[in-house]
Amino acid sequence: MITEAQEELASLYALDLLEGVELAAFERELTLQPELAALTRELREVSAAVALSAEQIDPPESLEREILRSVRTQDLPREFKPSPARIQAVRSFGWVPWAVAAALAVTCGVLQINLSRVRVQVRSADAEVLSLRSRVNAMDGERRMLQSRIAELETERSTLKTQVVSLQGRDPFNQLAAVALAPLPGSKDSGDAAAVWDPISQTGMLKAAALPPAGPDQDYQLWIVDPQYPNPVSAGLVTSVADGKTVRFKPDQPVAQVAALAVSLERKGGVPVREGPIVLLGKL
Amino acid sequence: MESPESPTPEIDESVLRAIAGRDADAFSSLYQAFSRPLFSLAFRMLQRREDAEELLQEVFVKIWNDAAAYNGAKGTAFTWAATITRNKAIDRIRSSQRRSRLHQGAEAESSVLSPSQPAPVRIVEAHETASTVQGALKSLPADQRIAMELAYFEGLSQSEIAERLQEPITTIKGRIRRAMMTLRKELQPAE
Repeated sequence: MITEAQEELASLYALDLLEGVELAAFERELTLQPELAALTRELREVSAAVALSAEQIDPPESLEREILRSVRTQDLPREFKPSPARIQAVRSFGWVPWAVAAALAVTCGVLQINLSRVRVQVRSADAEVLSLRSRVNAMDGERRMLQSRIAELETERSTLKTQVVSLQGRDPFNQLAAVALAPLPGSKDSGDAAAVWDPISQTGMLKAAALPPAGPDQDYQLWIVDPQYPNPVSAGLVTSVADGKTVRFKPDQPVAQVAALAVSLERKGGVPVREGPIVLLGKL
Repeated sequence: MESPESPTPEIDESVLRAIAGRDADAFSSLYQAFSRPLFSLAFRMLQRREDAEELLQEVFVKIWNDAAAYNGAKGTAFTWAATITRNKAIDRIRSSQRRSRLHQGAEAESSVLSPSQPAPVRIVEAHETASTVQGALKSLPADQRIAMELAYFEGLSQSEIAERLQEPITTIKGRIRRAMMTLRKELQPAE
């Protein structure tokens, strides 16, 4: 499997755009991955083909003759006739070439040993470069992830700060609305209740007194009358108010203006739109 | 029209072996096959006909001397020869500090050229191969094509291309990768 990063390196390599450590590491990779080597070879062909996109022009005809003459001339063996004096000199110092050869042999041996050592060092350095590159890539990925998380947290912090400032500047009692609920005029229902509504948090509290318990198949349900909706908005079941408990409520939909609160007796589990009789009502 | 099998001129590896054995006829056949595209490449890079002729001479002398070193497993003979040409041209560009002149008057000089008349068959072959590659290169988005041309014909490094185009180096790398992968697909030999 060849990655995009490898495709990129192979493309740059095919155009001779890799240098130094990057080049050495990629050439090492080529020896380990035949598939990558095949792709690189193909891209080399592609790179050579780009030469053909240049406007095609013929070289002058005379150039071929010049080139042929040039290559033939350089292949001709040069005649060498040593002078008698030179021959004499060579004979007198006949041991010199042997001495030079021996010195060269020793030097070559030493160089060969050094070369082997250097090759081992180069291989080890290549492996280290690959390992470091992989670590750098991993750390880079981690850095990017952390940067993105930091940005998210910064945004969150800023939002929370705004909320804190807004809440600190608020007068809680100024916002709250209190509603007293009583049976409808002329009804035989008993009991009464009081509710407090906070338009900012869109929540409220309800406490009733002397409310008879709901039937076994019935539940008390609270409704908020908001002029923006055609029907009262359900604020949930409040059956436990009959036990004298304070019930916290929250409407199903956002409420802009509370015109009235009502408690009705509904089927067990509640209903989405009021069906049962209203037992308590309070207008704001 | 049928697609040609390969967009580059092909020559058998045995020709290179013959050249290594000092076969002048083999050398001449290689010259016939490669001289036109290599000369065109040299001219496109150096922008001066005299320089291109001199360079072509150096390239063929090197081919004559190093033919034994050619390894068919590493690429086609044309790829090898084109690499030699391009490397020598880049060396010249860098050593003579002529790069600034590359951007001036290229078209003017090209119109001064009076190329010698090629044989009819070669015109057709050269036209087919060159137009295949030209078509593929033209089909690339402009930003990818420009990055490719700066790298290939002007021999600029990654950082030099980034500087020239005023783009981050990662953008340049990405463009070159996309361009090369598209060209690879476009220049795929016909089945």
